Formats: sequence, structure tokens, C-alpha cells
Amino acid sequence: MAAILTGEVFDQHSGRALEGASILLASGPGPAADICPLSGADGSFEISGLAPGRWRLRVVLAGYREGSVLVELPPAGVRRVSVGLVRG
Amino acid sequence: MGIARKAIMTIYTQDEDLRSLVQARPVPTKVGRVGVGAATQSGELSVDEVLGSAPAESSQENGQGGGWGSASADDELGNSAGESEESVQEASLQQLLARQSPENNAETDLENLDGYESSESRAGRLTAHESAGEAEGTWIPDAGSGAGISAENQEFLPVLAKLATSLALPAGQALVGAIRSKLSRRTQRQLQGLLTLPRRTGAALLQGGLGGQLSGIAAQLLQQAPSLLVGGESGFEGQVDEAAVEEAVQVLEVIIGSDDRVRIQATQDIHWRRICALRITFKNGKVYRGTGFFIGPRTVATAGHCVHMQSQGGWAAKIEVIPGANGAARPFGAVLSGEFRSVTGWVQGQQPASDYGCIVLPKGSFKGGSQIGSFGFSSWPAPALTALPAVLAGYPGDKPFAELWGMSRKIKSVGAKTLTYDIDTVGGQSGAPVYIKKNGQRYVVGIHNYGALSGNSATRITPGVFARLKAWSQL
Repeated sequence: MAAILTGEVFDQHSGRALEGASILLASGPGPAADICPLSGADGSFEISGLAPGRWRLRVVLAGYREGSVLVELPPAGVRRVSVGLVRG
Repeated sequence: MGIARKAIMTIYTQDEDLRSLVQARPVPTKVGRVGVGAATQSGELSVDEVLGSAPAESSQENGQGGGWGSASADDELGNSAGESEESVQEASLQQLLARQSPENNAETDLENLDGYESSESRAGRLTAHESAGEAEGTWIPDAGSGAGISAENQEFLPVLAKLATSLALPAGQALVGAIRSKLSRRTQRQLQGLLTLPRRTGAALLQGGLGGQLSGIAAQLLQQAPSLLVGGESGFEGQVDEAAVEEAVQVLEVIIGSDDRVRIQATQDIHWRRICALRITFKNGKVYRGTGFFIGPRTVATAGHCVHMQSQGGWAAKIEVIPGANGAARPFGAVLSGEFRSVTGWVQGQQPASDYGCIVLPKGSFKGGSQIGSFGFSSWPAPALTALPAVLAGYPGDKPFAELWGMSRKIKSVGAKTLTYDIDTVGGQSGAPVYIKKNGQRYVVGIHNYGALSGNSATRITPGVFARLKAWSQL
């Protein structure tokens, strides 16, 4: 079984969608493809084929402090997260 | 969508060629002496590297290796006969620490780079402390005052102290479970590595390597680290202190999770310019970063998921290929391609072991590929793969776009179709070459594609993968 993680990256202060942020899987219950999704113009991203369990997501974008979020993925289906980044 | 083609290699049917173009064209499939190197009479398989015509700019190159078309009959590298499909060969500690001559040591490619530490230096630390005669069973130093900890880490001492005393309690078990889930895979792996080393070696590593930075309290924490990795039911139903968890994660990441990658800035040098930053756009508009490497004049090998992802609608729409990229600098320019190949095992089977493919560049790109050169690649038996240091270099997503970073370690285990190693990788390095050096020649032996706590991994170049890459390299 595999789950899909989708989400969006936004500026914590303005709420504006952030494009071009690197979405990285720092840890999790299984292997993950080492490809790096970039958030789109609407801030959205998607990672598929993930094992169920707890994954730690890193979000990196020049001009912002790195963001980190812990996500619990179900055995199958889609889980959506929002990651706000702070300038710095 | 790609068109399935009749299998050529009957042994490795998952390596059947699939392509992104609707119109199928014949693909060279016979293994023969067409390029450089070839199948030897005994079935040993290798294709040599090609230097390319751009200036070398590297003092490490000696001009050997020849150009495309000059056969090298001396590359007798063995084959995988005798290995069962299920066999996994682990490298011994002696193998991992053994010193190699420079012509057989890919690690020398990273020498003189900022932040580089040789395996010899690491090994020296271990053996020096081994010979000093630490007693068995004393690999964790006594709890002390923290005098050895570096100044910048002094602030973490209260957190370490708190953790070390509370881990044995039910609440502590819940705490470590929460901490574990937040640690990076690098830090978890390094903790695991410390725990699986022989006790005397562990003592040496702590005192020689980490000991300079760890207080007795931190060492005590490490002593209880098995619970960080094993976890388990604690029976604790209270609230875990999230602030304590975050603090502890920060401590462990800073002190233990050292990043051994080094930045490679001389990306125009012969061996680095063959590695390409990839900007991948799928048909649904989603964009990804990846890595690839030249194996032929117009062929860039990469991970299968860099060219085809079922969840993103199948084949990529376009990929921008930037050889030798160095931040904003594009010393050879960039090319967009819409022609890709992979194999049935990946496109139809989604098998991680078959997760490889290639980008076919438009004809004439990069002066017909003659500027860049290409990596050799080889199918080697397991003992040879764990004997020599390997280098993995690619374009990680946690760094600014198109910075090339590399690291060297020996491959720690070899499965029938995969290689596993403790070389640090991050998303964006999918498709990076895992190469070794033999007699001064660089041979890719794996295509990096997955990261995991148990070790990062690559598709091993088996005879089937070799045949497919060879056919693609001649496009």
C-alpha cells in the first residue's frame, strides 16, 4: 500500500503561495525516491508512493528559514499538508 | 505513453526497453564491440569512460582512457555468475577500512575539496584508539562534566542531561519514540552504526571521533540510543513534551548527524562535467529536481522515476539537462529533451530495482556530446563492488539549485539487483552515478535512486542493466 502526500507552501507572513521550494523527505518508515519536488506557482507539491507511517518533511527555499513538518500518512489515499515559511 | 517492445534479454525481462515516443524505432540491442570496451569472451562486461574534447582542467587526469571508439581490452572485471538472486553480500569492517592505491580509489576525486575527510583519516582515528587498548565493554565513556564538548554545543547540555536520566522511565520511552520519528535518516543511520560496531571500535569512534565533541552526558544518551531506534510500546499514556522533543532532535542532529558531503566547484573538470543537473517537468505541470550522467554522446542515464512516474501521468513532458552545472553557471549550456527511455520493470512493474532510464538528447547537443565525454559503466561481481571506495555525486535539493555535492564511502552491501551504502544523499540526487575507479578508469556500478534509514541505494548494474545501458549509450 502506498500513500500520496500533497500540500502547499506559503509565506507565513503574507499568506502568498511560494514557488520553487524544495520538498525533502528527511525521515520516514520506508525508502523514498530521491527525486526533489518543487512547489509550483500555486505553492502546491505532490509526493507519491510513500509507505504509511510518520514522515518528516523539510521545505527549503532561498530567502526563507527552513520549514519542517511531521506528517502521519495513512496506508493508502491522499494526505494534505500546508507549510508556512518565515523570511530570514 | 510508451510502447512496449519485445524483450531482447530473456534473463532480465524487466530491462526490456520502453520509450516515451509514440513512434517506435529499432534500438541496438546486441552487446558487441561497438563503443569503447565490450563484453569479453568470458562474459565480463564494461564500457570505458570517454574524456570529451573540452579542456581537462584537472591535474588528476593523465590523458588515459582514449576517445570514443578506442577499445580497451584490459578491463577484465568479472561477472556476477554464481550469485543467487537472493544473495546479499555485506562488506566487512576490514573491507570498509582497507586502503586502496590511488588508481583504484575513486575517493581521490574528492581530495582537496573543502570539508573533505579521507577514509584513511577516519580509519586512522579508529585504529589508533584500538591499539591504545581500550578495555572490552567500556565503549561508552563515564558520565562527566561535559568538559570535552565544543563551545557552540554547550547550550545543549541541559537537554542531554534531562534525556539521559529520563529515558528509562515509561514517559522516557514515549519521548524517545517521538524523538526517533523526527530524526533525519542520516542521524538515525549514524546512531545505528555506532550501536552495531564492535564495542572496542565503538569506544574508539566515540573517543577519537565524536569524543572530542561529546560530553559524558551525551555519551550516556548514546548508550541508551537503542531505544531511540527500537521504540516499542511504553504503556505511557501521558502527554509528550513537544518542546523537549524538538530540542532533543536539534541536539542529536547537530552533534551526531554530521554531513560528510563536500561541494564540487570544479564542475568543468573531466569527471564532473558528465554529471548533469536535471529540471524535470511532467505533463501535469509538476516540476522536480534530479541528477543524470552522460554514458554516450547523446545519452544521459538517470533514475527511472526521473523520466517516468505513474502518479504524474507517466512520461515526463520535458527535461532540462545542464551538464557541469555550478549554481547559476552553465559552462556547457543546457538542452531541453522530450525523448526518454526506461524499462518494463519500472514503467510497467514499478520495481525499485528496475528504476532506471535515460534521456536522449537532440542530435548535435553539446557539439554531439564530444565536449562532455561520458562515464564508463560496468557489471561487477559483489566482492569487487565492496572492495573499492565508491563516489556518489549529484545535485541535492537542500542546496541552492544546481550545486554539485559528492561523498565517498565503500558500498556496504550488494544485493542481486541493488547496492546499499551510507553515502549521504538528499532528494534531487536521484539518477546520480555511483562510481568506482579501477586502474585509473571510472566505472559507474550503480544508479542512485532511493534514500532510507537502512541505507541509501542504487540500481546495481547487472548484466541485464549493462546491456540496456550499452544499447542506449549508442543512440
